[in-house]
Amino acid sequence: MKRPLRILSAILVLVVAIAADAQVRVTAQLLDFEKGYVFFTTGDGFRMAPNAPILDFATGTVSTKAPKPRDWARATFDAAGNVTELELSKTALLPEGDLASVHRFAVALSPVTTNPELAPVATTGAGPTGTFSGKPVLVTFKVLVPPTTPLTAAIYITTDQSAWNPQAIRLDRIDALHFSVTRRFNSGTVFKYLYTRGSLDTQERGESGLERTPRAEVVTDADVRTVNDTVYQWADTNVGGGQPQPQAIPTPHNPAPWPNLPSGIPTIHP
Amino acid sequence: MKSLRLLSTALALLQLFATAAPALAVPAAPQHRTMHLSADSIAFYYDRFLVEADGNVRVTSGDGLTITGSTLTWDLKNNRFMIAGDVKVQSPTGTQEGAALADFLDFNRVYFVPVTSEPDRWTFEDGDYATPIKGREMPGDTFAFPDLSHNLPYLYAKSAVVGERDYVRFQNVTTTLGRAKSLPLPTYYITYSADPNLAQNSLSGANWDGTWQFAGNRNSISAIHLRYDQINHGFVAFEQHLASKKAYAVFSINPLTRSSKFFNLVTDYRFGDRTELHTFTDLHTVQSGFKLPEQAQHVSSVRLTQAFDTFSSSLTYSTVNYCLLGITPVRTIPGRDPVYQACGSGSSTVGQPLSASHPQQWSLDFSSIDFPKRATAPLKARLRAGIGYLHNPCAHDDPATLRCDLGGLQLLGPQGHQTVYTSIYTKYVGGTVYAPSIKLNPNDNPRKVYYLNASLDAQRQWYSVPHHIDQIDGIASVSRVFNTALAAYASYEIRQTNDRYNSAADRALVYPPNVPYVDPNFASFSAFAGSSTFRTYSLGASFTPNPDFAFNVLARKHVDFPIPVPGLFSPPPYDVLGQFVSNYYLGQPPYDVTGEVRVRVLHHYYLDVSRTYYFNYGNLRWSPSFVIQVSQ
Repeated sequence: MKRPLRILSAILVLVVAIAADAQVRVTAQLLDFEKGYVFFTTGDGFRMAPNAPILDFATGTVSTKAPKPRDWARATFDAAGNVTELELSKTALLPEGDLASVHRFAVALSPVTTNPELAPVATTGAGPTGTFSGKPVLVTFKVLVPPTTPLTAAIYITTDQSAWNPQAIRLDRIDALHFSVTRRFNSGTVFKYLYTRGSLDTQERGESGLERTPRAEVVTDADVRTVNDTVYQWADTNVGGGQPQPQAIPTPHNPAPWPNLPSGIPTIHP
Repeated sequence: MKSLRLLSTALALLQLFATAAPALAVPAAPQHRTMHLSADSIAFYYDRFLVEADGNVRVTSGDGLTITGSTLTWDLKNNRFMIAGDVKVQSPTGTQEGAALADFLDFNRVYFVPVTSEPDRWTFEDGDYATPIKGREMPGDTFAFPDLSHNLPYLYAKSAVVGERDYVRFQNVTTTLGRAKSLPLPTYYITYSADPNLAQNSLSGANWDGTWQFAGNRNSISAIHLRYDQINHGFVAFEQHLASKKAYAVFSINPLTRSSKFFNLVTDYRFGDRTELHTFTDLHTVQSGFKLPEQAQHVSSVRLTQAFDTFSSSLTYSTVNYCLLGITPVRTIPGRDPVYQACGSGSSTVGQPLSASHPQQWSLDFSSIDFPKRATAPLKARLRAGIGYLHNPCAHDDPATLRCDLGGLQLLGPQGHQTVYTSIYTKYVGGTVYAPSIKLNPNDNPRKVYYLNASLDAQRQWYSVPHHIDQIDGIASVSRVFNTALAAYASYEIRQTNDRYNSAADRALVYPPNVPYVDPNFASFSAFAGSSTFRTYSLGASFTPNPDFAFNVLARKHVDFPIPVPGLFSPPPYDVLGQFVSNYYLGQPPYDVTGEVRVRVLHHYYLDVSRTYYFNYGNLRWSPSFVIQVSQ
């Protein structure tokens, strides 16, 4: 008689162990909680088990607040895919479990159909899936400036990312005609930019002498990236010379090409 | 009184300009919608262009769409938003309820998690909320919230208007100072357009500028600037921007709160791809508030640029009037003659002598593109040429009316028979040859290669007054990038300027020899007769061990003729930032060293500090102040 009892006990322990093993726990951010379902930011909705407790993650006591979007939660799933316990936190929780492993429990009325727009696209510089990973990429901008650029000039990049601040990114001179700067961007970043000498009055011009359309840059998936540009001319050294600048009534005609000769030299006026 | 009327009219126009700007603007591009957002709390993260809203979120658009929910995240740059929590959608084509909705505005596509009898995944296309595409896969991050644990909100608001791809305008705003809430403002406008036209400005530089863009839309911005510079110190300025795809106009009053005011207007219009019209007008007044000005000057210029295949041309007209008000009675004492403010007396607050002069200038200029066009060409060249005409009708003093002591353009000729030139014709030709990068020692290791960069620029300009000016500027540098952190260069520049008069008598009149500088210390200047040579030896290095830190140093030695003597040459004027306005001037200190440090201080901001040391030249040790800049 004892032997069958031992076997029964062993089976019972095994079942309990399997049942315990069938419980899956994952941490995730909540998207919504309504009509008996809890939704995570994967877009998946899961059925809450009847009377499943909602606890405070920090204290383990019953939560006084209802689950809200942006809350973090640790969800416990039973073997049938129901959420049997939900622990809430206002701060991000350490990763636990794998959301992909509970995706099979997600409730959805319609069968999944493929989305042709999510098929890999052969985008130059994009990752193997045709998308950008968002990893930090060191991007070096190296620009050849016009030979008429003053040696004391400071060169900047102005971009749409900085609301076209003309002194957004300062470059460093590396020789008489080249400036360079390195910045970190996440791959996939798309931005437009122009070079300036610190103001919109000294913004670069196209080779034609007209205002040029902004340059465009897509930060591709690479460890480092170098962008080589050429500035043909600046607005103030453009054909015809510079125009008057704000807040500077120009000096009366000075026939001598030096701005600060000693007083009385030369005698230029009656 | 006439001037008063003019100013009153200008002020009225200004007010009209500020309030009617949206009406004057060009209609927005139809594909970019304008959407309204309201919530219990809206936070804006400027460094990531994210709008985060919580509590009773409501998004509406002009096409009858209303979406409500508990929380929202809106990525302005990626042009998509997501609403989660008890979401309800009402549109002319249907009504839906669900857990979350993500609108990818660029693609006119909405991903939706409905909750009918059970959850599902639906996709709506082209605004058709009546016909869901059921079960279609969605991008992995469709419903993700951004991690903002390391970001601080720039402002809080109760509602906002989002002009897709262009701007966001917040209402009932509270600005932030670090993590604390600070100044409440009725509105706050922010542009994030990829078109720089709306960002053009007509303000001069300032050491510090805090901008409050209090109104605006896709085509206009109205802004108040709180500014500081070394001349005006703290002051307020106003600026109005108008822009479309092809044109922009910017008007400003700077400073608004000082008696010396500049009214600026910059406009630009592009006729097609090859023609551009650009204008600039600056009216300077000295007036208390907007009362009758005591002084007024103005400068205007109009430039028409035409591009051709291999060259471009530019026709420019500019005019300056140093005395717009004419003779002005400023004080009348009973029984006495009125006291007049004559333009020829004193000097203006901007350091310009007051004068009745009003010179004009026409010029027609041509400039070639670089040739040869081959990108790998070791040598490139560009040519330029032009003609010009200057005229100043104010030729003689007239004590009864206005002084013309800056009259005409130039006085020349033997004593007693001098000619006042009121018109001068000019013509010039010039060219530049340059070598962008020549390897001096071909080596497989790019870290061991020295590069030569050089340029030579020469120009001669002839005047109808019998003289011509030659300018030659040559620069050569040798550079090497030692490793990813260190680059250095040595350069030499020589710049020669020769003002040659055809007759010795004229030259002696313009550049009188030895008089009055007979002091032996001034021997070099005594020999000066219209020719100068600036030689500059430079050593520069840039140390950037990582993108968050940079140290630059530039040491220079100037060997100039005339030799600089402290106190002989007046220093060139400083601009409002405390920097010399001219790059080349007589009397440069023989030695200078400039150091610059740039450090990343916040996630998206760098602090840049630089200063120059002049080795005690004429008691000048350091540049007047540190130059401090915040960049991104």
